[in-house]
Parts: sequence; structure tokens; C-alpha cells
Amino acid sequence: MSTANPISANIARRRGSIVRLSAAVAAVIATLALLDIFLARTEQRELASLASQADRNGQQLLAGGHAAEAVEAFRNAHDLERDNERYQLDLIRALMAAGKPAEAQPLMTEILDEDSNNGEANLLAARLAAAQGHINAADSYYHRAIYGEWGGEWRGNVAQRQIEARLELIDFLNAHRRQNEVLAELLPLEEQAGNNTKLQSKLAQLFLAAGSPSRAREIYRRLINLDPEDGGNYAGLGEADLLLGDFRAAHTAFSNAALHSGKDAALRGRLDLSLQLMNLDPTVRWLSAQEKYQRSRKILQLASDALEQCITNHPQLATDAASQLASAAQMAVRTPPPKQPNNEMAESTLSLSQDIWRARTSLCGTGTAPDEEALRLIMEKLAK
Amino acid sequence: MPGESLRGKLWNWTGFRSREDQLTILLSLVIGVIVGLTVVAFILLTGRLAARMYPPESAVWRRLLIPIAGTLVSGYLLFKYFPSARGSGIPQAKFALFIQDGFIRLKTVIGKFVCCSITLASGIALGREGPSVHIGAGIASVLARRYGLRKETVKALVPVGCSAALAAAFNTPIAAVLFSLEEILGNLHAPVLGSVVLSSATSWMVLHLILGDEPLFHVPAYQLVNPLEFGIYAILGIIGGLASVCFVKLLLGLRVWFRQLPAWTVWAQPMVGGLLMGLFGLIRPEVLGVGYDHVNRMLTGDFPWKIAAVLAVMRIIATPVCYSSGNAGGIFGPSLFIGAMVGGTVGYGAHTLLPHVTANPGAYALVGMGTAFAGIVRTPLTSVIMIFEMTRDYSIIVPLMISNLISFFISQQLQREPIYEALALQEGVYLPTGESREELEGVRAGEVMLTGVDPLPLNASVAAAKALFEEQHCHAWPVGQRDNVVGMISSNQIDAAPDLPETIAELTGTDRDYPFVHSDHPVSHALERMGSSGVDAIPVVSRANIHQMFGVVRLSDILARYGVAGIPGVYAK
Repeated sequence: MSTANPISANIARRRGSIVRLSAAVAAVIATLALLDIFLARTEQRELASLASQADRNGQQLLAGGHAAEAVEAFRNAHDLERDNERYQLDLIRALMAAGKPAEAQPLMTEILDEDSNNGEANLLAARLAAAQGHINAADSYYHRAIYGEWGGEWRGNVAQRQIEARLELIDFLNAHRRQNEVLAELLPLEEQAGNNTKLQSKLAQLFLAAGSPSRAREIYRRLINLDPEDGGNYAGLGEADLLLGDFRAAHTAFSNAALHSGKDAALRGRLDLSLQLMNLDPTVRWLSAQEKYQRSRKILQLASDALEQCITNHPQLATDAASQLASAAQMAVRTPPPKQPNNEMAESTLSLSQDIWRARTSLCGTGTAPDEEALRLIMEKLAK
Repeated sequence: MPGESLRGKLWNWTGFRSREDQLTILLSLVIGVIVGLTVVAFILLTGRLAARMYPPESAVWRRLLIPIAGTLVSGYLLFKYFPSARGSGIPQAKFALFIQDGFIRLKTVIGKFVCCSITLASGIALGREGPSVHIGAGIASVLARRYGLRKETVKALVPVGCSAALAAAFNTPIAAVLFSLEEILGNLHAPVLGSVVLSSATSWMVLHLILGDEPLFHVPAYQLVNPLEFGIYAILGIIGGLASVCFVKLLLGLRVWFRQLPAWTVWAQPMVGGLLMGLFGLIRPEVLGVGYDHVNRMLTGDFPWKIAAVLAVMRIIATPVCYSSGNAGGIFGPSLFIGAMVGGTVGYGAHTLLPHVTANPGAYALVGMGTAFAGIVRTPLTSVIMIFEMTRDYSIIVPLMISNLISFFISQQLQREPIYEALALQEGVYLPTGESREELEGVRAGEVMLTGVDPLPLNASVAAAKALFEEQHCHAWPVGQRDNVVGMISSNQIDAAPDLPETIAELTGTDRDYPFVHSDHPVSHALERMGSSGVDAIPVVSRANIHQMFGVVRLSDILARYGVAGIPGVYAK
């Protein structure tokens, strides 16, 4: 007993000290945790502020055309706040503007690895791929952007961003002459357009450019119904009618456009063109054989001149067949017209004109010269 | 039990001995949490202070004066209050483990935290990881002692603290475990593995809870572009190895020089590092501080190679000066910085010459980091895993291993002693080398040594020596005063003397060449020493001071331990 009591007392003391020590350890842990949280938040706040400042600086530099300096500023922002996707996207944008798509690629991959469905990132990835000449990859990224998720500042405006992305895709496809794909993109866009007249007007222009004037005409007609005072819509309708070969309707539309918007030089040119086409068109019903033949000779003259011009400008392209055709055309043009021409003669002349035009287009393309436009439109109509 | 102390009775009665393993596990968790929180605070504090002291594009005078002022303040604190907090912290943790039974004072932990915070915040080119390891080891030691654990357990918990610290400092839990085993303990199969892993994981979780899931370095996905690149990575290994040797030799040489300066200059010596940093900072502000931002940029290949080359040279000079002059801070971070800059420069050269068969210079910077680490710290396995964990990039692992091994080999050939062991040797401390630690298995000299014996005094007569040999059943004995051994005397020396002198002092040498073992050496090592010296007894001395004798190990004691003493025909008296 004499030793048990001191032992018990010591045990009690020891247990007490362990409890006190454990409490002290817990207090130390709590204090350190609070200190860490305070320091971490302070750091986060400071870094976020510095990053935001750097990003703003980058935006200004980029807007001012100083892409290289903007890259530095955005890189700084990105380094300071790694998890901020906005800064990374801005950096990618600046790198692309600075002509460094290869440097932007790893950053892009990093973002898409984390969120492959990110609409904005995919749109940038599409631009990046386009800048690097990866056409199919760009096409794919554009589609992912259109059908992806648009968060952050775009959250309330997703449809608008999707439309803009699709319009950008259409521009990209147009630039790469992928007309069929353009039309495939325009159809869903038409559904999305709803009552958005501005978008409808843009769509109609795109349908025209994509070679679908009938859809363009429908849209312009709808727009005219909605706003009969808008001269631009009449002008658009006129263009669609020109492409469809309805030159009289085109002339009427251009006249209406001039009525509502005033006659500027461009519109005057379109009026003249449509008038010229009306007077040149050999397919108009109830046309006398005399008149049809005269018109066919005028067309032959235009086609012959066009081929001659082509051979003169590009002698290295001239083939024997083309030269023979040119000679035949000149001979036909020089031959005096018969006193009583019939429809067969007109058709024969038109057929020769078409052969000449085909030779012309195969050698020098369709041409974009304004004076050849009438011939091109007539030929397109005849080809139908 | 007769003769058992009151403390022993208490220990047994409360059942703590049986529960000690459980307590160790529990304490490993607690150490993981506290060390993790402390290291996170240390990282954040140094980072924020540095941002205030010399913000980007700050005035020129700041770049010059802040490092000088910082080292002046920390130098005074280190001199006056925390002398044990100097340097990196890795050798200190090893001293504590191998010499001081795991003892690290709380004051040292606090001093390390405060002085390193000041030093690193003032832009000194030292790292925060080594000090974190010291702090972690210190916290583990303090906690274990306060909980009244046995010396063995306190000692076992030191690497647990180291591992927790490194896991939080580098965000590399696996490398932290490996480093604790490979460098601190020198044994990849150490029995404390479980506790080390536990504390590392706990500390890492704390780090992630507070700072989120961000790797220390962000690296784009690199890959080998062409097999020719292996050759370039090998060249990088050679350059990295040579740079590492330059770094280590300069650091060790400067340290010897600084140690020779008068004692009254100790408080001002760190300022030499501060002054150099200030001057370097005027030329290139990027040289100031830990520099991980620049490493990050180098890793993405977006860092001008000319600046990278200049920074590599500056750091190879600045870090040894800062360290040797007595500042508190580590060499882990600077190793990575130097490696990244050297690697980036080599990568840029390779990419310029062979653009189609080489990866971005960032890939070379990444491999360069591991190369310098393997060359300077000489832990090749840890360096590969550490780079892998820090960057989370697996694709570059094979080139990394090739470069690391080449650098390690070159460093080993040109600088025999690894840096931490060489630093310890300069302190007069004999830390076990990697090789010797492998031998520390089986029966130790400390277990068979004869204690309570003194060396033979230098003024003892030859007759007294012979009498002692007779009494102790051996033919040699340490010579010295009390427990301070200075040499050995053997019957062979007495027999070989043409004229017997009056005292044994004239027969014995008093240099460090006498044979000795440390208490943790295996008896096989003692036998080897006996054989090579032609004696049958050698002193067992302290690792911190080879003149301090703990006892004597005799051949007969070793034989007796193996049960062959007294067998007819076998040597034993």
C-alpha cells in the first residue's frame, strides 16, 4: 500500500497531464487552421485582385492592337489565378492574335480536357484549328461549340451565342467553299431565327451566297410583309430574282428598293442590269422569232467577246478547241442576219453561245467583272 | 519486479507499453495535421511577405536593400536566439535522428519558422522545403516527448514529421515518403513506413483542404518527339551533373571559408548573402526569392533562354553564398530552379538546332529539374518520383530517369560525399552514409560494448597498460582522459618499442586515425576495424564527437555474444 498510493497519484497526474496536453494540441490545431484559412483567403483575394488588374490591362492592350504585350498581361493573370478559365481563354485569344497558335494549343487542350463540352472553349478551339489550317477539326469544334454548354457571362444568352457560333461556322465554310455544308447549317439557323428580322435578313444573304436564291426570296418576301418600307429587303429580293432568272421581277424589286431607300449608285447599277437582262432574255414567252434571234445574236456577241478576252489575257491557257470555237463565234457574229430568222436559228445561235461560255468558264472561270454579270446570269438561266 | 524504476512501473501498469504502437499511429495522424497546417502557414506567410517586400516592378532600392535588411535581422535573431535554426534543416533533422535520439527543441522549431520567414520574404535565394522538414521533424519530436514516449519512439517519429513536412511543402506525398526513407533514414524498408505514409497522406490532405488541388508546377503534356532526344537528354544529364558538382563544391568550400572567420562576425555573415542577392537583384530581379513562378514559365517554354542561362549561373553562385553565410533556408527549391533554367537553356539550344526532332524547351526544363535534384541532393529515386508528382506528367519519365542517373553518376564521381553528409562532416559529425546504413543490421556494437570503463590516461606507465590488458583480457585499449579518447595503445606497440618509455604517451598517436565504431554500427563492422588495425578492442564513440567514448567493444565480448566464448581452442580469455 505504501507504494500503491504514490503510483496511483502519479498515474492520475499523468493522465491529467495527457488530457491537458491533448487539449492544448487541439487548440494548436484549431489556431493553425484559422491562421491558414485567414492567410489562404488573404492570398486568394490579393491574387484575384492582381489577376483581374492584369486581365483588364490585357484587354486594353489587345483592343489597342498590342497583342504581344497583351499576351504577357494575360499570362500574368493566368499564372496568378490558375483556376480562372476566363483568363486562360483570354490568353489563348491573345496568343492567336499575336500569331502564336502553337503556344495556345496546350492551353486549349488543358481547358477541353477538363470540360470538353465548354461552348466558349470549343469556339476558341475551332478558331485555333482554323488558324492552324485544320479544317475538319475546326468544323468539329464549331459544332461542339454550337451544341456545348455556355456558362458564366453567357448563361442568360445561350441561344444568341449558339447563333453567333453557327454564323461564324458558316463564314468559315463559305471561306473554304463548302457550300453543301453551309446550306446544312443555314437550315437549323432558319428555324432558330424566329421573328429576329436582322437575323432573317442575314440568313437570306447567306442563302443567296450559298446558291439557294429560292429560300432567300421566301425570306425576303416574309420580311417585306413584315416591313414593306425597308428598301434593303426589296434589293435582296431583286438579287434573289436575278439569280432565279426572273429578271422582270428583279427589276420591279430594285425599283421598289429605289423608291424606299433612294437611288444610290449601286442600286442604279442593279436597275440597269436587270433592265439589260430583261432586254436580253431570249426565253421570254410570246417573243417573236425575229426578236428571239436578235437577242440570241447579242448573247453570242457577248460570249464571243468574253472568250476572246479570256484568250487574250491568258494565251497559255488557250486550247485548240477553244480557239476553233472563238473563230466559229467570230464568223457567226460577222455573218449578216437572215431576213426571216426562225426559232431554230435562234436556238442554234444560243447553243453555240453556250458552248463558247462553257469553254470560257473552263479556261478562265466564270469571272467577276461587272460587264460579264449579265452574260453569266443569262447563261445560268439558259442552263436551267 | 525488483529494481524496476517507478517510471517503468507506471509505464507497465497503465498499459502504455502495449498501446505504444497504437499511440504512435494516432500521433502520426496528429503530426500529419499539425505539420501540414504549419507548413501551409509557412508557405503562405513567406509568399505574402515576399509579395509585399519586393513586388513585381518594384523600385530599385527595394531590390537592393530588402535582402540586406532581411538577412541582417534574421542573422541577428539566429546569432542571439536561435543558433540551431541556421541552414537547411535536413542535416539538422538527421543529427537529431542519429545523434540526439530524436531530440529537437521547440525553440528551434519556432526559430526556424521565424528566421526562414524573414529570410525567404527578403528574397534570399534559398528554399522553404528543407526548413519545413526541420520544422516537421521538430514538431514530431516535441509532441512525442510531451506525450512521454520512449526515446526509441521519439526517434521513430522524427522521419514521420519530415515526411509530413515535405508532402505539404512540395505537394508530393509519395516523394515525401521516399525521401524520408531514402535520405533521412537511409532504409527503404524501415519499420516506420506505415507511420511515415500516414503522416504524409494526412499532411497532404490538409494542404489540399486549404489550398485546393493545384500542382506546384503546371506543365503541358510533353512527350518524346524522336528517339534522338534520348541523346540530348543524356547531354542534359551531363551538364546538369557538372552544374550540380559546381554548386555543391562551391557551397562546401564557401562554408569552410565562412567558418574560419572570427566568431564575432557570425551575426553579420548572413548579410554577405543578402548583399550579393541585392546586387544580383539589381541586374535581374527574377533571381530574388524562391522563383517558382519563373520555373513555371520555363516549364511552359515561355521564358527567354538568355535570361534563363544568366539566372542559372547567378543561382549557382548566390545560393551557396546565402547558405554558407549562415542564412536559414534550404537547397531543394534552388536545386529545382537551377535545374529548370539549365534544362530550359539546353532545350532551347537543342530546339533551335534540331527543331523537328526535339520537344519544346519546357520538356528539357522539366527533366533538368530532376537532374539537378539528383545531382545535388543525390536521391535519384526520390527525384524521379518528386518531379512526376509535382508535374503529374508521366510521359517524360523515361528521359527523366536517364538524365537523373547520368547526373547522379557524375556527381558521385566528382564529389564523393553527398552534400548533407559533407555538411555534417564539416560540423565534425559522422552521419552514417548510405552504404554504412545498409550495414546497420544485426547485433550492434552498442549492445556488446563494455560500459563504465575509462581510457587509459596518457601519463599511465607501460606497466599499468600491461596490467590493464591482463585485467580486461585484451591486447589494446583506448587512451585519453576520463571518457575523452585521443588514441589507442596496444601490446604490439609496446613490444615493438626498442626502449620502453616511462609513459604510454610516447607510444600512442593523438589524431583521428585510431580505430573506433559508433554504437549503431554492427559488430561485423567492429570486427572489420579490429582486423584492419590489428587490435582486439576498440572504443565505441559518439557520432557527434569521436573523442567522446561510450564504452569499449572487445573481441571476446563479440564472441561471447555469439556463444563461442570459452570454447576450447577458440580465442577467449
